[in-house]
Amino acid sequence: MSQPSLTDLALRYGIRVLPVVASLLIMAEFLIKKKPYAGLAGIPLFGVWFALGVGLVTVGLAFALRQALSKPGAPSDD
Amino acid sequence: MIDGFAFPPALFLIFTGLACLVLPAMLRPFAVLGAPVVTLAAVWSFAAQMAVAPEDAPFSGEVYAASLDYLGLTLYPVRVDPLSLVFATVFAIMAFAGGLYALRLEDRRELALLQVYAGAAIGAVLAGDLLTLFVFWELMAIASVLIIWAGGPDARGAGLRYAGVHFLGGACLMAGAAGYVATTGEAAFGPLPQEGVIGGLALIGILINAAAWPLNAWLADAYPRASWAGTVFLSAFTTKTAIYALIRGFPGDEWLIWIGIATIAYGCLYALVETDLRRLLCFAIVAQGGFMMVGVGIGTPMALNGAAGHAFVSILYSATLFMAAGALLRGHGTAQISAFSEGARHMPQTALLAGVAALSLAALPGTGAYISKSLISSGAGKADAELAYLLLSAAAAGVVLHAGRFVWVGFLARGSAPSTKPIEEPGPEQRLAMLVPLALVLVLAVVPGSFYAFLPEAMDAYTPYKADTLLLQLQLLVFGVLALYYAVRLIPDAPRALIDTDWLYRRLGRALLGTLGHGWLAAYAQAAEKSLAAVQRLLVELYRIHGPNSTLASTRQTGYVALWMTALLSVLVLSSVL
Repeated sequence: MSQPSLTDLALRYGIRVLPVVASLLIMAEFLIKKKPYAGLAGIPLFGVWFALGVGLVTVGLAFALRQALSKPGAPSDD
Repeated sequence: MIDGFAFPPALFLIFTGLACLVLPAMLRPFAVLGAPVVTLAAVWSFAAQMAVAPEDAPFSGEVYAASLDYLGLTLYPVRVDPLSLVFATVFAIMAFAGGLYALRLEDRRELALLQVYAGAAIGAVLAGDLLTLFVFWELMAIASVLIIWAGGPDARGAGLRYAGVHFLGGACLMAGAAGYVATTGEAAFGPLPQEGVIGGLALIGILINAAAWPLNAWLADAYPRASWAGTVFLSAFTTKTAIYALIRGFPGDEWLIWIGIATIAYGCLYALVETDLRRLLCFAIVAQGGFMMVGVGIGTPMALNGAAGHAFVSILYSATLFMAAGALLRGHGTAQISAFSEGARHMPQTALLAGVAALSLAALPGTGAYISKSLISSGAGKADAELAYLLLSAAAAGVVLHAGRFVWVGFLARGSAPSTKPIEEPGPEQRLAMLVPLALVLVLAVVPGSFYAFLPEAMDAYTPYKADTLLLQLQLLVFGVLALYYAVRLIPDAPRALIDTDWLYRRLGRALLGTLGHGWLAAYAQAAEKSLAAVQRLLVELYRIHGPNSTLASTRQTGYVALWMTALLSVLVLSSVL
């Protein structure tokens, strides 16, 4: 029987572990932030939506960058 | 204290480098590993003599400086103060770790150049005056160009472009320095004017070396062309020496905040789509440099400490990352990620070290980068730079994406065109070289108080491990990874050449030069053709008059000639008499 690839393993276990960790962090927010915080830290789940937003926007921009400003093949030295 | 002449510690490394050219192979490891240790000892022996500078000295605070009078100026070839001590220390550690990694280099000339390059960087950060700084700055540029060329024939063009950009930067720095010396009569390197031509020229010269956007295309163009060992050294010294010069010369220059933010955004975006693993890391160090520029721009003691501290830490974990990438390059024969095939299976120890270094790059709490980066963020928060704080938080999430992608494509994923070449762990001394800087990064995170006390500026007590700060950072990390997890497959791994700002001089510049060149050549050819035709006409005319078949050369009777002579003599006599 062939060994499962690391890619498959990472995807299989990542999909299980990541949401668990993410849920724990969301719960931790409500346990830790009992007192009102000022500024950005006072926005509920600021880190969560901010990271997701930035992550998706960055990936979207990177994808657009790749389509618009790149060409196939490794960079040449000329 | 200000002393008389002292032997610059940088020369230990430079002379050792030159000695490597002639030393037998069995002695070279002792020289390569011993010189950084001796250099570090010399720096710290000077540091032990630091004392509060006298009032008439051009320095303030605790300092040790050795002076020298030259061309009517007082130069300081050695100046050790808390800021230069931070950079000289990490440079010496890096020279040691990098030397350990490079011991298997077969080309002794490259090994020698690596030592000279590291020595020049240490010389630059210990330079107490602008002239000495410029000398070591240029030596660093020359050594780094030669290191790039040592990468092989494919590095020729990139090395030339690198040389062009860096010598332009050196010229800007020299022009600014000369203007400063001429207007103030003082050569000591301290805060430079933030407005006007003098300060502007010096700032441009330094920003080129710091790889600030949009002056940074040289970095990802040239560094990946160097050898597996050369890139490790190159990643550590040039940009961080420039960050040192920014902290020294332009603290609190607000332009640096926005230049830094733009540099982070650029680095994060390009790193996310790059298909060459070493170029990906190059964009990562560009982004990290952006964090440091923001710290310098904020300019408060906490933010300046953050910039210096993050330079210290990022040199160490970047070294491990580049060493791991070098191991993949040596194994696969290419750094294109499409050729990689689950490197963690074949080199688990390297993968583990690279993974921890990548977590440090992402500023996971418990790593050195977390305690240094949080100084910059908190510095922005305490300086009421709300927008900068928000953008730094966004940048922290952006860095997670390419740190995660590095581990994914380098060690976990199977590329679309995997290499069949068997790969194995690098040698034991190379794994040790990866471990040494990384271990230091982890130790610093355990004793943040000691690390903060080592940083140059006196600041209020700061605790990085607070519940809400930790939670925010962890949320940024985990949800950043979550975004990457679902999005990473959107970006295929097939080799792509990204267009960067170097397009301006690699393509547009060449096209303009070609067009202008054709115009000039056509005009020149037309003028040359006309001149040649005129000369030919003159020769034909002369030949017609004086040639063998011309009127003047034809055969005449003696009497006919005598008649003409008599007539001419008569005219002469008459003109004399009248």
